[in-house]
Amino acid sequence: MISGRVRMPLAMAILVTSTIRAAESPEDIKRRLCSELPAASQRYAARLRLYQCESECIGRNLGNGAVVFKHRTSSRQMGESGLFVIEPDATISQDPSEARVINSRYVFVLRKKPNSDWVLHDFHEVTQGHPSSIYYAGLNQMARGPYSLDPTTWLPESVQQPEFVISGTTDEDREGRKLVRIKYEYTKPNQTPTYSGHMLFDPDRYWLMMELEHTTSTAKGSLTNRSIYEYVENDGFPLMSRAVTVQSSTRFPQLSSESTTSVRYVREDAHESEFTLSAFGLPEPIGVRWKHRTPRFVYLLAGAGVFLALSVALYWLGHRNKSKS
Amino acid sequence: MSRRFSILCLIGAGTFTAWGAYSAMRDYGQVPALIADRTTFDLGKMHEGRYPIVVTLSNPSATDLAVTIPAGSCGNRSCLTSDPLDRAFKLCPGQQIEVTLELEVKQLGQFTSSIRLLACGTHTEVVLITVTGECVPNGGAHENSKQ
Repeated sequence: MISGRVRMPLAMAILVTSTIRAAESPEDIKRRLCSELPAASQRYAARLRLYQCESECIGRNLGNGAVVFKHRTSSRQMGESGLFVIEPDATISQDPSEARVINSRYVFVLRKKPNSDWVLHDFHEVTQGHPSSIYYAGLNQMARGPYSLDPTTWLPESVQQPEFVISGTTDEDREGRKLVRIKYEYTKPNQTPTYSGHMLFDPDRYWLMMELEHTTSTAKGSLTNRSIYEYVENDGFPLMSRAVTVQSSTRFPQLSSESTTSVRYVREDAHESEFTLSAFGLPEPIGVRWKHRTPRFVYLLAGAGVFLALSVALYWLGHRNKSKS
Repeated sequence: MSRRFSILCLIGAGTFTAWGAYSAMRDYGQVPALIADRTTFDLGKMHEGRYPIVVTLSNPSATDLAVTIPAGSCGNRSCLTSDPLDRAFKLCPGQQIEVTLELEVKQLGQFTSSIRLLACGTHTEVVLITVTGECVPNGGAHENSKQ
């Protein structure tokens, strides 16, 4: 029971920190999103490339509280090269760890069972393009920033489609920040599911998503993800620190779950040698040599040259001494 | 005394030269270690259904090969998968092994499917197995398997 003395300041605080007021029209906000969001996401991704990322994710069944998954991920990048490693907690899952890696010459997927070495699971040369058989979600998403509605819907592209309809918008003030909440509906061309929900953006900080409620509906039922994202500033640059997502389904209400992801970004350079088979203890493909490594035979032949020179010098010295005596 | 050291250095130079030459040959003289007896299969006219595709793999190199056969993939109107799925095994030097892939022909028309066999020994290599053919209606002409 909240007393009257507490209730009044609490109501004032709510009014101050979360004021909802009239906003731009849906047409105006759609135009603004189309003109500002793609560029903002590119600027954000460009700065995010200076950082390497590690995260821990834990998922619980909301019905019985049981931990259903727990894993650690590592995402490192350098230019167009990068890796995404996901390591399930062995006490909960028997799934192998998986590494998805791309460098300037080839892309590959490795898997590793507990206490075993990495095993090559897929391999393609980059000249043949990025193969659809390699699952890149993760590698792409971590590197591009929080602008996905789901693994297949990249918002900066989707928002520009005529099928992406904004049905309502409100402005919100939260802790001094002017945020924009957008209600949307979206149907991808030639696809059955319809997508709907609302997103809360921070237009002053790269249009970062602060909240997302995304529902995928089909004739059989619907699946809803409600996410809240938290950010920390690093030299004035916002980096995601925590994401909490509650997933619920009308078809399987007993399987509602909550996943919490803790994210740590570190500003440091990566080197392309990290994104090679050699980095995981596996041999390189035929013909692939990385520039930084001087082949061993060069050192051996140089050593042979030194021995030969020494041999000639000693022979000459011995011959001269013999002549003198 | 100097002459004796000179001969020792000459022996050292010879040893390093031989070792360097061997190392260079290993680096530049790499040859495929995983050999498949066939890499393309034109099966001609087939009906919808599942068919085994048998490939003999051998390892003529002097190094153990860690071979992985991924689960497989679906191509044009058909799927080519490994049986069992996601198979991994070691192929010793000189060893041969028969592996069975499963082709599932799913729709009428020309079909193509492929699967990439992966091997790690002194280097990493990929052997691509491709199966092509034409799926015809049941009761139609059946010129099965030019294998």
